[in-house]
Amino acid sequence: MRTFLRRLAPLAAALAIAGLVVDPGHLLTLSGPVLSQAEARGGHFGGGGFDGGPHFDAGRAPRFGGGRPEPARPHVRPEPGPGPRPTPGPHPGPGPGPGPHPGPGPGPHPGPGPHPGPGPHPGPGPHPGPGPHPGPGPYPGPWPHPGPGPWGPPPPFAPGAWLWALPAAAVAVSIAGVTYYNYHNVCYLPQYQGDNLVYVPVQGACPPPY
Amino acid sequence: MRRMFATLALVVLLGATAAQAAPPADAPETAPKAPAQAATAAKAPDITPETKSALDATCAFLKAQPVMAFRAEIAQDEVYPKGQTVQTNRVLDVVLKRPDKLYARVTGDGRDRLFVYDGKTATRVDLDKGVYAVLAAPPTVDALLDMLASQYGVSAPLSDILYADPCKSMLDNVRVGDTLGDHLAAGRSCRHLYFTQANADWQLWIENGKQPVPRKLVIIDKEKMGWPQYEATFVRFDFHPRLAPGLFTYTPAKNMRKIDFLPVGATQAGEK
Repeated sequence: MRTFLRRLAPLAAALAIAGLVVDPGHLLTLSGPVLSQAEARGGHFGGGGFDGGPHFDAGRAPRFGGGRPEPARPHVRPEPGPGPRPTPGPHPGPGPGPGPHPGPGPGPHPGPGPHPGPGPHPGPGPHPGPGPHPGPGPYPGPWPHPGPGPWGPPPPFAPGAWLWALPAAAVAVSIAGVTYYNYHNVCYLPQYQGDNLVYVPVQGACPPPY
Repeated sequence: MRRMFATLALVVLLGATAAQAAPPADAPETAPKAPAQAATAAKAPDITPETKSALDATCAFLKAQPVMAFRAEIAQDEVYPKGQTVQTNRVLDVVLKRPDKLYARVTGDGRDRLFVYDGKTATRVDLDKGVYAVLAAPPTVDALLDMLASQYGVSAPLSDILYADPCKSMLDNVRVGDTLGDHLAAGRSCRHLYFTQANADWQLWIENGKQPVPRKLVIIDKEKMGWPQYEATFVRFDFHPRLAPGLFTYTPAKNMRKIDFLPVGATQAGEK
């Protein structure tokens, strides 16, 4: 018996020290990567609504949940850095140089206009000819963003979640030349974001009161 | 008894050594790797002369073409946030007139997109979604591709062969390049090249013959979960195409709506 205990003692000591070094709490977290890998291999296809394959019909996205997919890179060349050109804001103001729009310019209307500041200008507007082309106007400098359309800038975006596909229940609403999509009483505005078309929520009531 | 103490002392010593060797849980993982990464980056790429000369030949040939039209069949993997990977298939038709004209039409799964550039403006049209956007553009295709990527986050497909100097940056990040021999691509005998870089592995099939055009390109994206793949098979090249008038401009139909681009980096709330 004593011999047996004597042989057992080193083993018990080794186990005790191993327990201190390995940190048993980490043993539980090891299951995290394993589970997520299993999920990555498609473990949730059954419960995730993968019924009948992906849906590429207009207005329907694959119902994998969680957001948009990440496509494989379509070129080898390294991405260019931000470069010397400034990143344009969504709607740069009239800078010191000549604005991209020839014509009367984006300044506020003379007189006691009801819209202070650069608010949208519904109605006939100062821009004759609703042609959507920017026209042959010169674009001096480092190729500025074309800026707001002839109807003025859209209302500011709300911080809510974007839509990656337009739900079938969304209703198109055209206000002052801009088409919004009303979905659950939130107005969404289609915008390009990189390679994707996204629907960004707009602040305020839907439809906007102008 | 002495043997027992000796064994215990040995075990304690081993345990202490292991505890010292293990990094603390909150230590940054990259810290000890930094010197190794720097050494790897400084290492010259290992590209065989045969591979380099084959790639140079195709690049020189493409560079010498003032006008080029091609059709590519695309198979692109898309990885969803939960890991499911699906493949989408599209057809890409491109007409390039150096230095300042570009036409591209992508049709296929979930996309019917037109992109035209006439040296002054670039217009992107999603015909299936009824929207388009116009951008003031720089005066060359090279500057346009750079602007789209840096300012708007747009990755032009197969832009590697659209630049005026197609091979200028293709080998910038390559660590290893070699030739696998003569293999078939698009039904033609080609030199099969492969390249390895940190963020991607890619292969290129270059046709054997008088016109060393690329016939197939496969890119495996190692930066994304599941290593999705992008595959382009060039089924047709035409270096003397008949260009229809107005090919590089777009006149919107009545039902098309003009929208804007969000600036690069714009994200929804809660998204990184």
